[in-house]
Amino acid sequence: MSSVPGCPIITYKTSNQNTIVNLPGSGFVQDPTETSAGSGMFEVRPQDDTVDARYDFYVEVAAEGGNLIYSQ
Amino acid sequence: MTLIVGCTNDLTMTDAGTYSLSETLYVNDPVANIYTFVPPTITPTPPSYCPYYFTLVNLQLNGGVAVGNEIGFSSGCAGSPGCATLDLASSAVKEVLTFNIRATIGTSNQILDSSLITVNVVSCLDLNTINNGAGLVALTVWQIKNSDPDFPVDAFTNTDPRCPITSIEIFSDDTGTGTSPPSSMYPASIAVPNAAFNVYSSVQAVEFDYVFYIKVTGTENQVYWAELASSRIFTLRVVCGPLSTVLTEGSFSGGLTTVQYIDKMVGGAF
Repeated sequence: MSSVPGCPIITYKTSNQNTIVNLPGSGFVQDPTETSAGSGMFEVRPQDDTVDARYDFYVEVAAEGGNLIYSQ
Repeated sequence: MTLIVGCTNDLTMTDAGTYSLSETLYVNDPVANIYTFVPPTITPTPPSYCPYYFTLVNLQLNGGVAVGNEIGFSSGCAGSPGCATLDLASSAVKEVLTFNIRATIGTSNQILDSSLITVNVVSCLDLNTINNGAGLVALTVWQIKNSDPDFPVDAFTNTDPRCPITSIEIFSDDTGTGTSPPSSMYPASIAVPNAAFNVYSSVQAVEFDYVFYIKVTGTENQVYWAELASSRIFTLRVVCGPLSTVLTEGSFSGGLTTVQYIDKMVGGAF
């Protein structure tokens, strides 16, 4: 992903849909977090890693100014 | 039988009545040949040794005493007794001159004064008003893209066509002593001051409010600071918009794929 200096990416969110951000009531993954500040690498963890489960999810990336993209 | 010797009262003059009683000039207008008088008719036609000539009488400046050299016959009139074209000494300041033109025939005591003639030098500072264009706005919001942020300005207008706008400048304040153009903005002055124009920021991709003032100068250095709703501040607001950032999905690295496995209770992550 690329962004102009003044309009950076501002949020990463997980969703179970790839058109809007939607979260099931429970039993899902957390929003992505950067592995270390400034690394540009993000990781997604389950809300509860004590249960056996499969999570199908998308990531919404939003930039300053309103542009959005969803992972496919 | 009658023998008339020299110039006598047998020659009579009649006012032509077709000359202009007022002439209006603007400050700094050319001063040569600003008025031409229509001479009276003389009957019978005077002999060549009785030429008529003109003098200015009752000259007043702004309703008071005149020095006398404020207006006079054009240099081209020298040696032409019937010439009645006038030059103004100066049009640098506004003034009102009133006078009569006196016609005299030769050496006779025949004189005829014209009606009172007024020469009015007027100033754009009194007559002209500079106005905003109808489309002028105080704030333009620009969404960042691959071109310089742009604040369009509608053309300024003025009420007197004899007093055109001569320059437009962009300042960082409204004292006229601030930076021109303001930092990261251009141009400092507008090439065609009587047309619509644009003010730009040279920084494309940073959110910022560029504040500037517009100084419009007219004839005779008439200054108008553009103003809307009692404010002289104009703002070019550069913001991020939906098209400012190009987002594309990247690819996984390090052998990772869209399906990943982690064990329970070890702090693993996708």
